[in-house]
Amino acid sequence: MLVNIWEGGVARQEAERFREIWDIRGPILLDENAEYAERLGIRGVPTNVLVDADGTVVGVGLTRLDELEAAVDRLLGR
Amino acid sequence: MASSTGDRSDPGAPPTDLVDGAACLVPAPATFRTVAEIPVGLDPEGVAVDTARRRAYVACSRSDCVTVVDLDELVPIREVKVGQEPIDIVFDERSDRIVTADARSDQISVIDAETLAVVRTVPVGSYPSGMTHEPEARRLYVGNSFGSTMSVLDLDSFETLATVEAEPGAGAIGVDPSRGVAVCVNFVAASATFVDMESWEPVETIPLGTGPCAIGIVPERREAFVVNSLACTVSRVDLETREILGELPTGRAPVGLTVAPPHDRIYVANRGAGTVSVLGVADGAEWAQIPVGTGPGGVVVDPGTGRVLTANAGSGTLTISEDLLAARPAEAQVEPPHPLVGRRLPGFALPDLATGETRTELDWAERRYIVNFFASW
Repeated sequence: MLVNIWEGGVARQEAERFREIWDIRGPILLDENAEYAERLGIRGVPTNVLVDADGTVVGVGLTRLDELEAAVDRLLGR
Repeated sequence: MASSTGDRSDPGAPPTDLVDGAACLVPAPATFRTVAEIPVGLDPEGVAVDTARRRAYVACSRSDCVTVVDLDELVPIREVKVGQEPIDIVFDERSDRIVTADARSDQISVIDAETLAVVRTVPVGSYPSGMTHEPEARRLYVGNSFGSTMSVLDLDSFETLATVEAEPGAGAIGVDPSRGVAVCVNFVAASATFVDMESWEPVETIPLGTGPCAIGIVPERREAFVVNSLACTVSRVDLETREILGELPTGRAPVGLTVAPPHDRIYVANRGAGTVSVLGVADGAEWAQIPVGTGPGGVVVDPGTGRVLTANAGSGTLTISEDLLAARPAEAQVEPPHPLVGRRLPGFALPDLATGETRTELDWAERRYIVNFFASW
């Protein structure tokens, strides 16, 4: 799931444009004033937050693809 | 804003509901001082310094303007409207002009620094997103991302002297006049095009890490440093052999880079971390990370004070920091785990872009998933 934050223009338009350019098919949520991101201590983009089935956060950051893949493997017990 | 000092154990303001008091009490010498965080326009990217007037010019890409900042009073003093989505900016002291690369207008805007009026616009290639200038030779170089070209213009007449073929995502440019070479960094192609500065012909294109988008030159070491935003590294490139000499680790999603005037360190703005990394030029090590605003991009050094100026696209601010390190610190910097790890994800209720319906964490209950925070810039 993607969460769009910190858009300077009209967030909905910018996020829609981004979805079209990158052919994103998953859900995109709008955190227009970044209140939720700030609550989580997110200080940059992109930032990935990995969540386990019980709702526990198991990773934050994970920008590099190899880093993310390894974390996903761990999350899935592979 | 009050100034503050800190070290790596103090990575900016902690999230309000995740503070672990005891975890922050790690005594260490201060590595930086935050002088100010100044509001500018929306999604600021490029920064240039006018030393004589004690001003910074900040290209604010989603406000379509340049914010002028007084570097003594530490306040914004003026906004100058330019074309659509100005991303990069240079200040030419000799002509007393500011130039912006207006990406969505396929043009540059030229501003008189005395009157702060736009005196002309000049068409360049498609989606100009990076620039540099060579004051002595009176040249301006513009990287056209969608056009996959580099424009070379006369810095006084703004006549286009050459349009050089580069590769998709052409943007940031570094020049080494001593070797007669310009290096155009191609974000999409993940490459760098070396261009002969006499013939304006591409000499060679080399592969880089994924998402390269900023470059700095250290001519006396015959090296270029290129940030690879998706690989989260900085490539050290030999300017003569054009070989990659090494990859320097840095923070998450590095997108901005500048070489400190003494050429002993480079500053790298980490868009994914909200920090600026201080990397040693000789040792290639990360000496420190300086917390700045959210989503930092453009970074420069004010030659008058040595302060580091960072444009933060997320927070819409310009952070002014002092790097207090005289040299590489004795102890390696270790990034602490994010305070959210091991805790329950706080609940949310956010609108879905496609349907407008409110989605909550319950929609993903009992599933393993990734939340990707992103911005379109």
